Amino acid sequence: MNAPKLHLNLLRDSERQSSSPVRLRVMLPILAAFACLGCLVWWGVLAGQLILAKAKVSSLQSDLDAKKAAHSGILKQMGDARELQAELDQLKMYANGRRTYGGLFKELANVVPEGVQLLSLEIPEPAAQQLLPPGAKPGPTVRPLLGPTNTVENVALRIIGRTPRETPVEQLMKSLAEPAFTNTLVIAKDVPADQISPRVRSFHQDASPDEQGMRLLSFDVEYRCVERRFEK
Amino acid sequence: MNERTLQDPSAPMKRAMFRALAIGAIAVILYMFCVQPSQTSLDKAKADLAGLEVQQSAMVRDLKGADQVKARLGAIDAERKEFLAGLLEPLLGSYAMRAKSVLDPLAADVGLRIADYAEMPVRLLPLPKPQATQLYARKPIRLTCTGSYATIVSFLMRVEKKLPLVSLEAFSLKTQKDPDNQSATLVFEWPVKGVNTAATAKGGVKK
Amino acid sequence: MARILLLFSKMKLQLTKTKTVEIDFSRLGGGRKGLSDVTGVVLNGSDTRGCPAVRLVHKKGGWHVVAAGFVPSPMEALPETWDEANKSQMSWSLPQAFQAPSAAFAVNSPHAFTRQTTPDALTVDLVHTAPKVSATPPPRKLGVRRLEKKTEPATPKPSDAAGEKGLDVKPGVPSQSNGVRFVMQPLAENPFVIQAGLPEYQLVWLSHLLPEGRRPTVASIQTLPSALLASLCEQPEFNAAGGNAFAIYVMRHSVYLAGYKDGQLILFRSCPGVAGWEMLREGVKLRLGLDEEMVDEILDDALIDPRSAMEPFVRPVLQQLEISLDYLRSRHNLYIDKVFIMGMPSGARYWSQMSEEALRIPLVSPSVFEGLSLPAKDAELAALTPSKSQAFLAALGAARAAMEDNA
Repeated sequence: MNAPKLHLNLLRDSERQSSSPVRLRVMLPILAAFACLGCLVWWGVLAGQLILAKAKVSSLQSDLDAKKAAHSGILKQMGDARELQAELDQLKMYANGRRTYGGLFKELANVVPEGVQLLSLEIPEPAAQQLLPPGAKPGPTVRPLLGPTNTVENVALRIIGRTPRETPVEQLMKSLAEPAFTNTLVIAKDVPADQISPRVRSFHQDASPDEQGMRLLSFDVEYRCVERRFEK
Repeated sequence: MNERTLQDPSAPMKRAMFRALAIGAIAVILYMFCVQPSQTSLDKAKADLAGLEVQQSAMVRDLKGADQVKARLGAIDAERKEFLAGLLEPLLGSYAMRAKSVLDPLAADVGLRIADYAEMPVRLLPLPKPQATQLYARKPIRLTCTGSYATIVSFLMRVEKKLPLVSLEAFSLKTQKDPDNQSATLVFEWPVKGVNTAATAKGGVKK
Repeated sequence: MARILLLFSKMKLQLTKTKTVEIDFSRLGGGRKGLSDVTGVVLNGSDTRGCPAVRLVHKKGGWHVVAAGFVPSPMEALPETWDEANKSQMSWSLPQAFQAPSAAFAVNSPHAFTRQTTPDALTVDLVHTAPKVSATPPPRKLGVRRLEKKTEPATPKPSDAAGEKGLDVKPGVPSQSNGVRFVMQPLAENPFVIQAGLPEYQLVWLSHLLPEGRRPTVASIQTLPSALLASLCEQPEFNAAGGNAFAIYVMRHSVYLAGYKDGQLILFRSCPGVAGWEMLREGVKLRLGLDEEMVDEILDDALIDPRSAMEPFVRPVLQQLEISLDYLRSRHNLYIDKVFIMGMPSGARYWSQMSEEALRIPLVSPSVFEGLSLPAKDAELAALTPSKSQAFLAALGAARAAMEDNA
């Protein structure tokens, strides 16, 4: 049975107290004090960590300072090694680009047929180096490169001579296709026209007869030699 | 506790709230002026520490490899010195004179008469990566000589054998009526010291 | 800060699309929720055995008496002045068996009043005028524990003068006037209300009697007569009558009549010119020449008929009963056939006989604990006779009334 209107309570709500030991007016300051204490503890922990960290930093710094001189020496040596290696690399590039032709000329004398009179043997000077930066035009403000970008230099051997007939030239060219020469001379036939080797620049009859009154054939043959590669 | 307790707090409750606020304010001040700055300092110290540790490990690693570095440096230097021995150094400022001093004895050995030595413009070498401070170049020296074909070729072979860094850059032989007096022009190139980029950067050009 | 706390005092959580749960943080730390475990205590009841106390628990849909007994009284008498209240403030501890979370006091004070009246006629007259109740508290002395009291105007207002003008109050909300705190509830018959009050200083003193943070703390302070009103709520015969019943509460010094309609109070009055059971016992003792120890025995036994000695005391009550029943019949068409007589330590059977003779209405006097489950281990409690159980009537009523939310 309900008893709502049978309760004549003279106690005000504000006078009611909690039987719980956990009282807000006690807990609020306690919680605030805990927060304060927590901040203090947190600060203490941070301070401790900071002191430790600074001590470590200091110790590490002094260790680094102690090793600095030795390390500088090592770094210098490493720098020197890099520098010297770079110099050595460039010198090796030069060395790798060296070609010898003495053997070629020596053997050439052995294979020139009797019917061939050599007028000229020539290995032309290489073309001038391109030292402008790519895409740049010559001008006072353009600084040339310190080295060519192209590492390959073409070499050619030009043989100019005369012969009463073509057979000795063919014989000569056939001899120059022998292994004794192919180390230096490039023999390439089934290639684009500008890469053919040997290339007969001219083969024609002389305009004027010789002393005996014979009209000789002049030939000008160019061989590509093994290119010079200035590479490591 | 109920809403009325909060809306119309009793005196002890008010005191408790005030105390809580006061202590809370102290907590906030502690946080703002002590905890946060300490945290910031600690983060910075930790960052510094991490950086120093990286430095230290690199240093230790480098120091451990000191012997290897030294040996490697020695090997490189030795190899380089072999090449440097073959460089063409100017004689009283003249590369041609140095070349002459080197080649004349070889020519004399084979009986070749060299009439003239002339310097030609330097040809640069491609740049390696990484690029060295001291660069090297090719110095062509042109010499004009007369002799027989065999003498000339013999001289060429002698040069190629005795001077392993000297390379024949160009050759021109025009046959003469006298087979013992063939005229030839040979261009030999030597490795020489080129531009020193460090000196160039400071304003001087060292060759 | 209060507003901030209020903002966060309640939180709604939507668990699913159709279900939302509200969490009321204000209920933490002992908020005012429905009381389900209350100890009712009678204070200043003049019982030499101590203060009757009943611990009542509502759980699993039923009412259970956890403990019932007499606890030593904390004081000899209630304070009579502000000064006395300040000086004599104390902390009281109840025995462990009665340490429910909340306590409901039924206070017997010479300065209390409980009466039926109308809202227009609300006054703050006290039953006794001496000693005079001071409207203003004395100045606080250092070292004396400060009492908490609401800061309402202490000086009497002209509108509060007794009998001159009605007081504007809300039902169930304590109000203060002229140094007296009172509360009223409407009766089932408009416009009548029941009003009860105590001096402010006594209420402040009583509110601090049980200390905070320990079980129990005071949740309800009622006057003794008003505490009786809920004592019948769980009586099986009361409920069987549909809540339509009449009760005669015969207390030590007073007799009260209460009429119930559908479980709601419809009539309340104090019997004028009628003494309580103490006077009746004295009369029987003198008339029959009995010793004190024999009185209860004679009143409960059939060996000697004490009705002739009882008649002067019983007749006026039965007359009032007749008038009240007639009133209910004529005014409310309410035919009461169940009349309870409660509160007497002995003699109820003779009251019923006399009522049956005069009014053809028997009076029932069940055990106070009828309809309630008793603790299994307390054989003494289970063996209590209905007469002996009447000592706990007001305590039980106070506890039951305080648990209004669990009804």
